[in-house]
Amino acid sequence: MHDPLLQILARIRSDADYRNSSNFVEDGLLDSFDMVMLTSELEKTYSITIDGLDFVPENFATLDDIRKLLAKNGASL
Amino acid sequence: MPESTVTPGASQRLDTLSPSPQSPFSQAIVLGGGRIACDCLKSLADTGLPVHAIQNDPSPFSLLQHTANRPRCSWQMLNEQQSLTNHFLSIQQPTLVVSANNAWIIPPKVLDNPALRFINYHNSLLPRHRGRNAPTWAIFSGDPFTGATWHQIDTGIDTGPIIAQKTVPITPQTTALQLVAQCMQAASDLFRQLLPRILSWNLPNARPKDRLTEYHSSHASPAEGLLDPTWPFPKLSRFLRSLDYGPLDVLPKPRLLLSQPDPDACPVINRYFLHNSHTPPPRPQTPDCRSHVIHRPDTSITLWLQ
Repeated sequence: MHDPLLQILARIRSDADYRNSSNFVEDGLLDSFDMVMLTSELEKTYSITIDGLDFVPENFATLDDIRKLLAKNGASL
Repeated sequence: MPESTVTPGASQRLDTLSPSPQSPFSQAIVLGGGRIACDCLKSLADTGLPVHAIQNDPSPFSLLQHTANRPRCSWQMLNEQQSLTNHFLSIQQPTLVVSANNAWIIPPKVLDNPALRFINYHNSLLPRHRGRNAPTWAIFSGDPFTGATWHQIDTGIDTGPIIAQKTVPITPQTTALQLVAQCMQAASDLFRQLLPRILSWNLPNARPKDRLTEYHSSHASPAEGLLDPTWPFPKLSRFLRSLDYGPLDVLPKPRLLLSQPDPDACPVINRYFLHNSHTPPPRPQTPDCRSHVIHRPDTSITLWLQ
């Protein structure tokens, strides 16, 4: 698992199969607290502050959605 | 997750609680929200008992409704105190009520309903750190460990007879957010272990001797939320980590105490980095942030202020 984002997600929920999910939230892989933990990890890893208005399930549904969220909040990917 | 163990001596040990094959309950209610409520609902549903989830936190992120979408389970949102009171007063069939991440203080007249038996999850080793934001107070107090407590509910706040507890260690790096997650996991594991005893309602009934310990209100912050840069490093670290709930606004962000007489004029600490004195911290990406460095012999703390 070389994708750093997948590594962070695996730390949040090690038993979740993110690769075979089309929507992490709807598939029950990430709950509200996971999204909080993920946001905290992303902020520390990428030295950014994620805008509170971006804290919506749509921004955590897929890897691409999370990458867009990071880019929007100034992360260097 | 750190290893957790049942606390010996702090409450009745699990292995001394004798199970009973008979359950007096014909249904269960999970009251609250968040992950711990979902986990309890799943464990209860696996027993075949009808389970009704009552969510009283209108968070759009909660998966409780999603989790309740299974056989013999139902869900409803009740977030007004009067509606909750009326609902629980109307119940006549024997019901186990599991309060998990529930901020509603259940009124005495509801507790007096003879059809209901209540248990609650609290994220500390009661009787220590009753009230709100217990992980904050456990970290700031320098406790080497805290944990999860399941207890019966009485008319006090977090004072009912303790059913069982599980410890979680606090390391010099643990933040409040991490501790919330670790205590929730410990509580879920403990609930699954305890379930046969809970369903038979064969539980210890002794209250802790010193049950009326200090109570933490929802608005209280350590040191009133002001970081004094003259503190020794361990206290600086504990203070910052105790208020670190990541993106959650559980408590107001801490402020740096400088020379201002008015605490509201002290700058807000947006982020902090505990680092080796020889290693520079990351650069702030927000242009309106400025940094303030507190030096100690081997360690530095860089604060991003706003």
